[in-house]
Amino acid sequence: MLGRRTFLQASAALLAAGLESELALAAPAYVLVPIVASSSPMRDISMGTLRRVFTSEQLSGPGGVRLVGFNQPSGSRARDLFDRVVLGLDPDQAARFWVDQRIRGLARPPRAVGSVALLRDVVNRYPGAVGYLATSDLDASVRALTVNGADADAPQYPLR
Amino acid sequence: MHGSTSPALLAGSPVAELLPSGARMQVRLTLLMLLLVGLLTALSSLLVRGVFSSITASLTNDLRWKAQRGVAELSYSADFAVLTANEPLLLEAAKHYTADADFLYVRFRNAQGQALLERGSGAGLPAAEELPEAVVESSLAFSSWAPVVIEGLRVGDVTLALSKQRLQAGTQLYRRMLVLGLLGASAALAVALWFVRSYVVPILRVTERTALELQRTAKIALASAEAKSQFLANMSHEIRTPMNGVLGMLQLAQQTDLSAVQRRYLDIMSTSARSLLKVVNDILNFSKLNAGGYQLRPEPCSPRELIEETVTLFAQRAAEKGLQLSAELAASVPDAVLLDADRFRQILGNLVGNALKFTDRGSVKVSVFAGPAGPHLASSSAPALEVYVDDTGPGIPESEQSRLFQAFSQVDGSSRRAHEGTGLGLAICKQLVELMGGAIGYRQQEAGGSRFYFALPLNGCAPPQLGAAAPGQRLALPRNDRPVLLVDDNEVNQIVAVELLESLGLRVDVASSGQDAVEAVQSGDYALVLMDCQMPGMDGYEATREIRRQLQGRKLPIVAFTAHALAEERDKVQQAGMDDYLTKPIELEQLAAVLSRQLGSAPRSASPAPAASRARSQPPLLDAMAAELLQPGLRRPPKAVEAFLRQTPEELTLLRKAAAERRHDEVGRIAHKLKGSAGSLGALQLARLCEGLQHATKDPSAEGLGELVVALGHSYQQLSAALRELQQAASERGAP
Repeated sequence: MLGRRTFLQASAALLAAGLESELALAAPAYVLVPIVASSSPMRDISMGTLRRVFTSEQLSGPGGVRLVGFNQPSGSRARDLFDRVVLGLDPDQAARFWVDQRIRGLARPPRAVGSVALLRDVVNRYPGAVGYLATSDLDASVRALTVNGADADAPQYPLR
Repeated sequence: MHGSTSPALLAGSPVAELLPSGARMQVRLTLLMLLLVGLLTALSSLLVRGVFSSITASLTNDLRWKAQRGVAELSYSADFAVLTANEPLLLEAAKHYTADADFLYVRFRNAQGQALLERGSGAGLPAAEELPEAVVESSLAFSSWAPVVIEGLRVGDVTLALSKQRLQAGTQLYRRMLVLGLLGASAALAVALWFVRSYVVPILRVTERTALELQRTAKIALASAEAKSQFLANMSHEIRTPMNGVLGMLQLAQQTDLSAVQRRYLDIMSTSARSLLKVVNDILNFSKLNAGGYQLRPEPCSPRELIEETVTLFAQRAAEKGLQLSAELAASVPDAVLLDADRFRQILGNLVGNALKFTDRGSVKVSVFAGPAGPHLASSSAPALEVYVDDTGPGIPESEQSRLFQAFSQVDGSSRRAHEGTGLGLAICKQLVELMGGAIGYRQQEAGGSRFYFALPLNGCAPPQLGAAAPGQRLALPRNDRPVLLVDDNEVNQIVAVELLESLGLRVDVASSGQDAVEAVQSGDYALVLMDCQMPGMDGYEATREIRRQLQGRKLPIVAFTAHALAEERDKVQQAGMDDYLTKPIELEQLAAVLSRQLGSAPRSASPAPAASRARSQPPLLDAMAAELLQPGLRRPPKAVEAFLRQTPEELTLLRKAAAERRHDEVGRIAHKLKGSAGSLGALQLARLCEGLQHATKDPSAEGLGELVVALGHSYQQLSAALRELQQAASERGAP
């Protein structure tokens, strides 16, 4: 059951990816941007840093503040895309990865925050918080970061 | 009724001690009620307390757990709400708690300690924050707090308090129940006390009063019965004293020369006087038995002799009525038993006397059996001596049988009754038999006559010693040169006693008081003192004690002489130091028997014996025989004497022959036989010679055997001459 669903999802994702590459200019693209508190001095984040933050590694940002990732709820489109692009894991793999981590006593997944609005609030208030949003959900309360120096509009921007 | 024992009701504890008084009872009942109510109250309060404490404990645990889990859960579920100070989210997180019945207070604070949300009343809660998630108990609530932490960063805290209202309500209910219980208990106590006071105590008072009344009534009744008894005893005693004079004088008068008419009158008088004496004795006996102070004096005696004596005693009366009186003893009856012979004679005499009285023709038969108890002594399975007295009289109607053994009742209770008597005889018999541990009864015979029977426990013993008291030797008085001192204040008694003593061949000195007696004993040498017990001034007991004190151990037989026929008198005289006992009215035979006993056993005085007394050491030729033959109404049939005189010469011939042939066994056998017949006739000298001969045959050398045989023959010659002489004298008197 799970296998079949995973297979279907995977096929759909592949198909969608193909379609996106084909129809990039035709439809508005679904793009994720990392966000930090509006007061944060951070402007950019590398894919490596992003991966390490969201695999719960202890990592300090500017000013020595520990960087803490906050996820979107699992099963959400943003979370699926984020895991696939940043961690290189589909949802099943991601689930298994975290179970494995927990069994080994290594790390826990970053906390998931239930709603986009709350996520923006949490990221804004929690020192060193790093989250991600679909570009459509962005507002002025948080700061969107460039990834590996690339803006979300740039063609080489990875989180899409 | 001297020294009678009062029943326990009178002697012992009065009713007040047997029964607690009303007041004491009330106190006890009150205490009991208090105790009961107190116990019940304590028990129920313990029960309630147990229930409540278990409920309280579980409720407390519940509240503690809820507080602890609550803050833990809230700190997790509301973390982002706390971080973002999002009130709707906080409310959403806390809504399950605020809706709880035990909820008192919840507060969320941010990391800066600013309250983000507060619900409920936090007043009175402890301010100091203990360890996280520890439960703090205050008077109002169980409260706990926990930090809200996101990824190791404390972003705020949450505090939750749960009200103790439910617990307090439980405690309040418990207190209310206790108070109610106490009120109820007090009410119950009050009701109980009221009940005790209003119902139980009056009943107790009535019971107490009734018991006291009963006791008083019983005391009065017993005292009156005792007074009557005492009166009877006193009267009987008062009558006995003058009777003494009457009977004594009659006896003396009978010994004088009289015309046939005079003799008949005197005989009738004597019989009447004896009947009267018997009535008086009956009454005395009965009062004594009734008072329960009767002392039995069991002694070894022979049933055969007792039966023979009684039958002999009644033989004349039976003959006068033309009745056949016989006795039969079963082989199983032992030679000797332990019983009170006087009482046995009294019982048997009464039954035989009754049988003779009520039987007009036919026979009266006494049968004696021994062995395991018959059907009549149901209460014991021990061997019993059973005596039956059967007659051929009219018998007793069944309706009257139940009254047989009751006091003061004769079967024909009407004034025209045909038979005299006090009606006490059978009642006395019954009491005596029961006192001896036996049973008495009556059964109608099929042929119509009556059968009275009694059974006594059979206590075997060694055969009684046939001594000086044996009948036939009663009047055998050793000759005594020293006078007898008679002490009595009553002149009639003095005359009677002096005459009787002199008729026995004794010299008599008289003292009229205890003091005189003491002085007389000091100055004179007396063989014996006959002491009246009741005297004005120094009485007989005291005088005896004084004499004993003065004699300092020197032997002097003192015989009490008293009108009291009571058994306890015997103890009293013994305690006073007297050797024997005689009741008034004195009868010649009794007197002779006692004197014989006392003088016969009296040791010789320490002074050198005169020639006469040395001669006495040789036994008299004839002892009992002479006196016996001299008395009217022969005990021993002259036939026995005749047989003795006929047979003895043959025996002596055989004896001489055996001695000549030195057949010692044969000599012993004949000597033994001769000793028996001589002894039974009272031929003491001959009997003693026979005994010596018997002894000599056991000595192998048989020394002096021949001399003894010769002496024996000589003694017999003298004896036979004396016997013939006496026989002739008796026959002359028997046919005047």
